[in-house]
Amino acid sequence: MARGNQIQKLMSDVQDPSDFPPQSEAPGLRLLDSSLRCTICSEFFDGPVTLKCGHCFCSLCIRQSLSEKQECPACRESEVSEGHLRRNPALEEAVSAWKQCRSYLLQLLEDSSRQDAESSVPSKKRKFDDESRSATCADSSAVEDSRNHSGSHTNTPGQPDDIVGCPLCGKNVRYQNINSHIDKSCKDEPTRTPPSSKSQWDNILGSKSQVKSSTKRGKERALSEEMDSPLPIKSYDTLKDKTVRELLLEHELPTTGDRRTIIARHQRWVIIYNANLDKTRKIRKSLSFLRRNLRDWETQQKNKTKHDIQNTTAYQIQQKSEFDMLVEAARPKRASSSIQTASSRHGHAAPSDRSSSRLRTASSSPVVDTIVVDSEEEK
Amino acid sequence: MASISSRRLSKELMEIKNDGCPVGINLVNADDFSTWLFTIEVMGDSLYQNEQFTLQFRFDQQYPISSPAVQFVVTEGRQAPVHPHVYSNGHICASILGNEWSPVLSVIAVCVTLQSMLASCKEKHRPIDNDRYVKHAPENPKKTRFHYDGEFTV
Repeated sequence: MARGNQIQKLMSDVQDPSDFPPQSEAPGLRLLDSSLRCTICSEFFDGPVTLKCGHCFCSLCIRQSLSEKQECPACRESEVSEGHLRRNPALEEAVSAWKQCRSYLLQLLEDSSRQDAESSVPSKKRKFDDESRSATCADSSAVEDSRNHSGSHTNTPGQPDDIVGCPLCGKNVRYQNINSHIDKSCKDEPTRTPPSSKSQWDNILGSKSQVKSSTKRGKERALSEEMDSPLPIKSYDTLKDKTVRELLLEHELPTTGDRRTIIARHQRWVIIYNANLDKTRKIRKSLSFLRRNLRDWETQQKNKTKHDIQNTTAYQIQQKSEFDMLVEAARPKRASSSIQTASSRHGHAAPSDRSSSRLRTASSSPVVDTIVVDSEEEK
Repeated sequence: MASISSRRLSKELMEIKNDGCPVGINLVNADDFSTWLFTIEVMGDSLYQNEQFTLQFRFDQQYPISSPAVQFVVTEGRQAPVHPHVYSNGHICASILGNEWSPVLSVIAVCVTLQSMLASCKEKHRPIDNDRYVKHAPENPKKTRFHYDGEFTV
């Protein structure tokens, strides 16, 4: 019952294209909403990247998928790899604009349908429309401004002192400053007043403060450049445990666990790190956020990995009936093993190696050092 | 923050509830994000007329990156269809459930594929290695390494 409630809660929380009226009532809205979504996760594109076949996915989704299988999930184009991924900033902008106006649009639709139902007085409706249009103007201009004023918009506020919301960081910026604000990746210093003559002189003469700030900027640049180059994908088979641990240490990640754990950890780190780089600088997550993300992922994984049985004798006693059953099941098979192997070659399906090897373990050598039990899917 | 798998599944469920299932496929049970049940019938002219089967989907946390575990239910009086790619324990030998799985596929896409697999059947018989397989099959069909012989590809 509790589970049912949980699913209900999640369902009501989920946004999907069906929030909009069907095609017949609101042409294109559902389609627009669904076309801005990744086909792997069904969420809006998060750091969209394009493969060489042209299909587009969230960076994290496609990187995960490619780590399983090197093909395009949509068209099965093979021989694609992480190296083919190209960022798609135009789509990313479109998604962020759509996210901004989505709830507003839904509100409008709801209002207008309610008003239709009430069959309100026309004058009232027009007033509402005017309000909505002015609001839309503000929104759309903010979005369009980010495209470097490529065209002339009738809706752009003409006054340089108008305050507009930055489309990237949402901060209110003067219209005359919005371009430089965006050019500086929203990192502009809050110098609204023109620089004093003293500071201008300092600029020319190179005072102490200037030197200080320039070194600081240099440091910042180095830091951001460090975040700019994607991590290479390692072939772990050629690396020793020690090397893998060093790779983890480089990024201040924990080095605990056996070889499998640390390799999985590093693999996952490379994926989330590189996926983060495919986002606009402004919305990138900090490294500490990514580390937390990795830790959460690992705790989630832990619940379904193999666990070793420490006390083997106790386990054997506990599972005796099952072992006996397996021994019994294995016996006739051994008698006709030669026929079995012959038929398995022609066979359609063969039980996986694991299950047959487990059978063998149970039947031939009942005393083993550690018994590995699959609690879930092995991955 | 709900996991990616449950968010994706909730969207699929939403779509099923809004748009309904394709003809012949019905959602029986989806109380959580680990197991879903569907009934499946083959419409029109086929060897499976008036037969109804139950499909079980099991999802792990990696869905949709990893494929769901799909099989026919063979308990409580339910039978798996007699088909050259369906074992009597309900396991299905279909490439899209194994190495041909793609994360853009969905639960409904799998249902439709299996429906068409049944519809295109020309002769009702079990896979040749049925008895041997069923005897040693793992509980979860995803642990079987099937060999796809190309008769049935999607």
